Amino acid sequence: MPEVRPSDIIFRAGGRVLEKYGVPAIAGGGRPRTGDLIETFSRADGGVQVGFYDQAGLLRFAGLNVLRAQWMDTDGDAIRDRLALWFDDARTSRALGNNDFNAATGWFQVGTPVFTANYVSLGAISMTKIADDDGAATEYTGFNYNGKTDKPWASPTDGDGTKPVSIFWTKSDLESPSGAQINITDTTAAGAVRFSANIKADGAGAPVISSLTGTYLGAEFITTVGTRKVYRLHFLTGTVTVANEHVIRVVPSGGGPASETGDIICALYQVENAGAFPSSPITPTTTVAIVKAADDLLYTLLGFSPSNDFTALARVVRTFWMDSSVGPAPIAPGISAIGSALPSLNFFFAQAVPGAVAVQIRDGATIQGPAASNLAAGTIVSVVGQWWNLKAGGFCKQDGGSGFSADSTPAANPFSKFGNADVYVGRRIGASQYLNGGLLDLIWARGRFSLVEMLKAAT
Amino acid sequence: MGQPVFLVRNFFSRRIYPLHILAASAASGAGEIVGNEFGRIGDACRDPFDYWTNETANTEVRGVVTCDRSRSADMLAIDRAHNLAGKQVLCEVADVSDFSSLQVACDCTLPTVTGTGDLDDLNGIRTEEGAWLKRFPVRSGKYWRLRIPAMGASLKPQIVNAWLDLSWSPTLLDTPLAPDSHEIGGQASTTQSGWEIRSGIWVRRMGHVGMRLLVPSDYELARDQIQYQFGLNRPMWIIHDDEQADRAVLALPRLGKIEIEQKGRGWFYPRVDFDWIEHSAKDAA
Repeated sequence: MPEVRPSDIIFRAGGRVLEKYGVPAIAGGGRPRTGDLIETFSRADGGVQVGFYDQAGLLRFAGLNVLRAQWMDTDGDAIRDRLALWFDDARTSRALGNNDFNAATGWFQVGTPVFTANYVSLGAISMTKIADDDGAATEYTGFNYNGKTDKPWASPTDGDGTKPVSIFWTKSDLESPSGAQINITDTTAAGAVRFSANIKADGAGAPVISSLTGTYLGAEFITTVGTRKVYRLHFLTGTVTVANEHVIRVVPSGGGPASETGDIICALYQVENAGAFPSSPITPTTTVAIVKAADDLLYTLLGFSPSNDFTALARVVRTFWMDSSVGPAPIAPGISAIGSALPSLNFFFAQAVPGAVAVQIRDGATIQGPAASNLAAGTIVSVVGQWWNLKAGGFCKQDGGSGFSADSTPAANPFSKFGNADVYVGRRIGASQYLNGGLLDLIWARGRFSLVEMLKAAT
Repeated sequence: MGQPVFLVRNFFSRRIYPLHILAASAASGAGEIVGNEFGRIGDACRDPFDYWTNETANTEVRGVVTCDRSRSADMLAIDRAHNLAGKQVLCEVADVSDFSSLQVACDCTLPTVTGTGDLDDLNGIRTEEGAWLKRFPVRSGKYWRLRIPAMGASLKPQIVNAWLDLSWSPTLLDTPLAPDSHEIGGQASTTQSGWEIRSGIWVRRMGHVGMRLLVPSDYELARDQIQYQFGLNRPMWIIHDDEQADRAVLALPRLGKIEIEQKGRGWFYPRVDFDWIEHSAKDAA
């Protein structure tokens, strides 16, 4: 069995590199005496703070042009044990006052729900307890966007369709029989419900969703605070009409009979402009929407030549979008690319083919590349791409952990140099789609190696 | 016996990281004063008069390093001749420049006496010569700071040198090992009676480090830490045994050679060998 020698490795990046070498990426020969690699990272949004989780699972924010390194649970024991570099698409958080829910940012109250701010600390933000304590009437809080300049979705920019919604949640102190409810109604369409979810807790404090309008994508365990388990719940709304007026509500007693009382403990009710699934937390809104740019990481190297064959390994923490095609337009989350201009090599997931990773040769005229549903099970998804014979009409294939796919058809246009010497990390060339997940390891090596051989080089 | 630990890189060093920006502030008054600027803590000069301090006594002081990218660290060292024994020192990391959302890497009250201890001890370890070392779980971020709360009436922090970066703990050292070896130098003349008259005596620790790396990827770290950083005459903390970190030494390479040899078990398992001497040893009493 061939072995990946250190001299075969051209480039390493990822959270593991940050943990072991102290920087997000290194050249194959380590950190040169001339200084670390030339790194270009931007999140060109003027300094919007975007969230990530520290080792304790507490939410932290990163500011202007700061790459996020998030601690993640990679073995399913609910302990965040590994650093991962985090990359997102651009998103806009439009729901206003989405972390205080009270009159200061324009929310209205029906009845007199009792607010307890800072009830559970999540680090950079705190959860609020909102209680309906009136046994004769339903009490709740809401935001009516009729007459407001900023809406939950911009018309026509955001387009009609399903929209990502997320909220931090933990088990209620007093759970109403109906559970707590979050919803969005369309007042232009006679109060049609565009999104609604009733949330209760099971015996272990995990969320149970019922009475759903929209799509429940899953619960992401965040941390344990005292005895409380905190989750971030991911949803898609039903189809919304962005030109219409909407009301967003948080209903502690779940919209059941007026006699029900109960509470909801929640934070950061994030409604996003577009996307197949919710993005990472964006700093809470007050009275205007917040636009978060994508995470653009790029290195400039000189060690790549089409004279070589290439193998790339990526180890990514499994997320819910990898195994199902969700959202209005499945995306192709990027892992990496050699050459940010054509010709180039492309390495990405293919959400339209659930459970698939894809590789491409983009020779400037055609695109050669197989995508196959072969992601193996496990908390960590390890995928390999291979590219060879580039100067004479190249081939490529991939392995998601279940064996290599068939070879691609040969590229029509051989090439002797890449479009440039850039290496994308956490994104692909072509459609500007980013990993939307946590990158543990990325290794580019000269030569053709198997997944097992590359994994040995990753340890 | 525990494992050896090496720390040579330093966020505070403009020599190692010329793009890092150092700035100090205080709750009251200036965070640094002319002649005692914050940048001095990264120059590795062990002269006790070459220290950083602030303007006003009994106020919180913060020394911030803005890295050129996200970087990881797991160890903090404050050199001898500081006045922080019994005082609180925090190392904090953030990804926002105003530290409004931060992680605490370590929060220690520095020991007042030297005792045998582990590098990971809650409050770190005071070395035999009075330096203070602390290893903490790895953290990463772009903005790092030392924060020293008000120390008490008429007191201001004085820090001669500090190191903050990712340490390296590759493997066990070869034995036999003599971590406490030292050499004695000076002038000597012998009288007619056969008495030796000595003057200008100096004593410093010295030794040899030899180890065979166990993981192929450690070659890259050895190349960086030992060959390039230490090998460029940059002082390095050597902790021969992390369970006995009070015997740590700040070392310079002995003039000569530093080798990473590829022999024996082949390219993948190189040997690292180098000799070191103590950096600016204390005057012999």
